[in-house]
Amino acid sequence: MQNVKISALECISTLGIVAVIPSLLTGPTFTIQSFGTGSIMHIIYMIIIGTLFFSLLFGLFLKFKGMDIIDISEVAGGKFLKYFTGITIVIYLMLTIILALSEFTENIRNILFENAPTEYFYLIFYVGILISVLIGIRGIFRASTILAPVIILGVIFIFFSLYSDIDITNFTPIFGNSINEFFIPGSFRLEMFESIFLILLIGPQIKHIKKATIGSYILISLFTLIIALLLFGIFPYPSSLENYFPLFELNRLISFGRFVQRVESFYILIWLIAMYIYISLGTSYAVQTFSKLFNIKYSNRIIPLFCILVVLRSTIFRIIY
Amino acid sequence: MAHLDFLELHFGIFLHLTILTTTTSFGVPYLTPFAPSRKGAFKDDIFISPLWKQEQRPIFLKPKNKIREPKISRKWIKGG
Repeated sequence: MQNVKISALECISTLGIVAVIPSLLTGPTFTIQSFGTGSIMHIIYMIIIGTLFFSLLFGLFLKFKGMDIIDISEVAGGKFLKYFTGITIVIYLMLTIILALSEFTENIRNILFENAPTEYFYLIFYVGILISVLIGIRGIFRASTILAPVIILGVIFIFFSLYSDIDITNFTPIFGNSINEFFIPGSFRLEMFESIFLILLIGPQIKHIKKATIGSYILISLFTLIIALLLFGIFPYPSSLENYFPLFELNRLISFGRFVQRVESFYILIWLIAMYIYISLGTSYAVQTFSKLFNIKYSNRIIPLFCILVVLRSTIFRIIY
Repeated sequence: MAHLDFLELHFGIFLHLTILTTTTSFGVPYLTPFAPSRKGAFKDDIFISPLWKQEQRPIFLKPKNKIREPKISRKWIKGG
């Protein structure tokens, strides 16, 4: 891992940005597919379950000072568990990035650049990811410190401009399709907190880890709750299943009189930079985990390889769609 | 390529952000009160207080003496 110290604020802002990306893509649509009108109640339920789960998880994790999840797995189960955990993490990171990139480029192409060839998209993303990963995680974390206030203000602005459109009847019946699916199978759906699991990897690099964990957990919960409240409150249940770019659909509804309209173009600017941060962060940690596992001293040499893998795999998913 | 002007704009903004945040000048990060953020970044950087109220030197320069002037510098004015 790179010998970089990250402040609590940098960690909170980066994880907040990473948490917004699933809401930008089809994350809320998957939730509503499973829980129907009970999605908002499910998110509140998951915040309660998540508080218990993460307090237990990070309570245990904080006892291993200066160790990340790979070191801990080596202590617990030797070399086998170390390699198993490391390879699982690399595959997970790569898969999430690839799926997010393919989905995002497809959506953004449908909205803005219908006539543009997709190869240029991937080329630009490739160059962006490559340079930012080569610069190092310090640049990514600091860039997200500047972007995070803009995103927070953006989400607050969406909330205050659209809260009057929320229809409470869209939240009923409160337990959705069935109460059996809601409680026990639904308690494992922690995908909204996927960004907080990154602390298990970046833990040794954070200066005030407890402060960073609590802060990022609160920020992620608030973000998800506000976005879910708006999405599920404004779009009624059957039609909200067709949202493939949910936050963009919300942004399109914002208008103040005849003069302030088409605010979504400003939001696209934020989401695109947030996407760059998300992909670069994932790729750099995939590279770092891989080089730590196999003792690769000069990890800069394998960065272009990982970037090519990310971009080419995304094009394959595009063909499948 | 003209179709992608918007995307290239973002690409440029992102690259500038990452490069500027990692650049240092004499060991001090280029965008220092904001990224990496410091305590009291908004005090003397965005909103500048009057000269007689700027009592401390910027911390990011790591000065030997942090205090620039005493708490009451204008002794001839009450509370100044």
